[in-house]
Amino acid sequence: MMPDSTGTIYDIGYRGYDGPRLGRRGAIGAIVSAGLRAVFGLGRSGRSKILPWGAVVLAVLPAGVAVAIRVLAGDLIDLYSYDNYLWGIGALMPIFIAAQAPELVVNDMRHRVLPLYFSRPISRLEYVAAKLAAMSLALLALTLLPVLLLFFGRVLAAEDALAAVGDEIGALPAIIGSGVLHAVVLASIGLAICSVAGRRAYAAGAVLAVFLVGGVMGGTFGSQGGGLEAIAPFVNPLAILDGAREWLFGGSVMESPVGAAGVPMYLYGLAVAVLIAVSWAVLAMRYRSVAT
Amino acid sequence: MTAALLSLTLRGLLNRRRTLLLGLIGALILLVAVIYRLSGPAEAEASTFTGRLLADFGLGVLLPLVAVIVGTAAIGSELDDGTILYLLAKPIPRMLIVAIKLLVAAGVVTVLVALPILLAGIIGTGGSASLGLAYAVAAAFGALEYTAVFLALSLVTSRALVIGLAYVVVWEGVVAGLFAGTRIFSVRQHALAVGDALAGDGAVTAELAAGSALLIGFAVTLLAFGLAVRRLERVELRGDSN
Repeated sequence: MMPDSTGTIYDIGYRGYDGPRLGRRGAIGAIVSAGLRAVFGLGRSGRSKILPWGAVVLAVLPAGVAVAIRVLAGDLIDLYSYDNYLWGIGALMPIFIAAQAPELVVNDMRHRVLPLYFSRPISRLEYVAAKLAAMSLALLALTLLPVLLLFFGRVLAAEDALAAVGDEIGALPAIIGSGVLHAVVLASIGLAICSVAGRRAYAAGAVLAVFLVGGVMGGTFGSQGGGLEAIAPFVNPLAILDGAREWLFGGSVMESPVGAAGVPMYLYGLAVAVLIAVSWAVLAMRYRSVAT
Repeated sequence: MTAALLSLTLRGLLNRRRTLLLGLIGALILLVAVIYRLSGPAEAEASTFTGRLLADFGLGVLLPLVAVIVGTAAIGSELDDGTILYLLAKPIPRMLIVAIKLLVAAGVVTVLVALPILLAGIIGTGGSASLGLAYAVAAAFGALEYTAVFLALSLVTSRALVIGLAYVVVWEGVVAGLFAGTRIFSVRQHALAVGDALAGDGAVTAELAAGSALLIGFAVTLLAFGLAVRRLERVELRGDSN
């Protein structure tokens, strides 16, 4: 026999969700946009905005100066062409990646929230691809935005803007192509390095170490005759990228070790392919082994 | 007590993964020297090339990277995981703790940096030890100054590694390259000046006179040491230790 029931069941308003379900595409889009916000420190304190926005400003500054000189002095001197711009601001890219790429991958792993992501209808590879997309898009602010600014500046500074569009439009595919190439490759390298580091500070250190060591090793090799300058570009990721850019779109950069190396240009394309393949393999393997 | 403190610090600093990674960067400079030797260089250029290698790579990259990681970990890692408490609870003067930690950390950095530099110097020049020795001594001097600065930094902020890296890359790499006046406050330039003076007609001409570099270097070291002692005397435990 049941005892008399004295309790009351209150309706506290739980209900099912019958709104639109965004599915995998929505989940991936959410990771990308959250990643972009994290990289640029949107929705965070001012302190975490200093580095990314400072880097973007510093990257755009030379284009602004070049355009201003062009407006004031005509085309007497060309500080930057479309070809050498990315090489010129190359020092900023490792700093930007070292500061912001760990934001994207390290915290999720360190705080063990990955199982929450993977309990949603996205696969591990889709998670990695979304993070890669976010970092690549963010890097476009350094690799594409300033050169586009230079492009528009040159068009608008000309006496006859319409004719200038005709003159300059041929450079546009190369601008966009090399910007995207730099962004994707650098994002892949950066995230691959960060994904194997346990803490944000170590990840930043590892990224800087790779680019510093590569840059200095390339410089040391390149300074010397006797066959060593042929391998100089291949120890520095930025020089490999510059070589690949020249292979695809032409236009050599005086300061880069690519010119002195004198090796067939397709080797740079090959090297970029190897870089991407290794980075993606590291990422895939790293996320396959994450415990859920 | 001192011996215990010594071995404690040494064991904390030489955990396997970190030492292996740092040793790997050191091995790279040897690799470059070996590749250079194998390429059959002209003997006249060998000392120029090796000098550049030791100055740019050894003092410019290897030394600051190793020093920032080891220097910030010497006390910083004990602060982070809270075990500094057991050390501070003992009746040891804080100054002694800092002094021992600093000496051990600087020693570790020196071994990890000066040894590869010395070997790379011998290999690169094809058997002469004088160039490698000059830059190895410079590296030892730089190691002490860098380590003192980064150790003090780790007691000032919990983000010492990131700030230290930013100092190395942004200040010493970019700013000191553009604005010559800031070079007196660059540890790398201090070490370069010492190495240049010892190497004689070295490949790399330092921007500073060796005397003033030594003077400023030791002053900075002492200042950083004093700051570290002062911070450790008033330390507040932080992090998720409880």
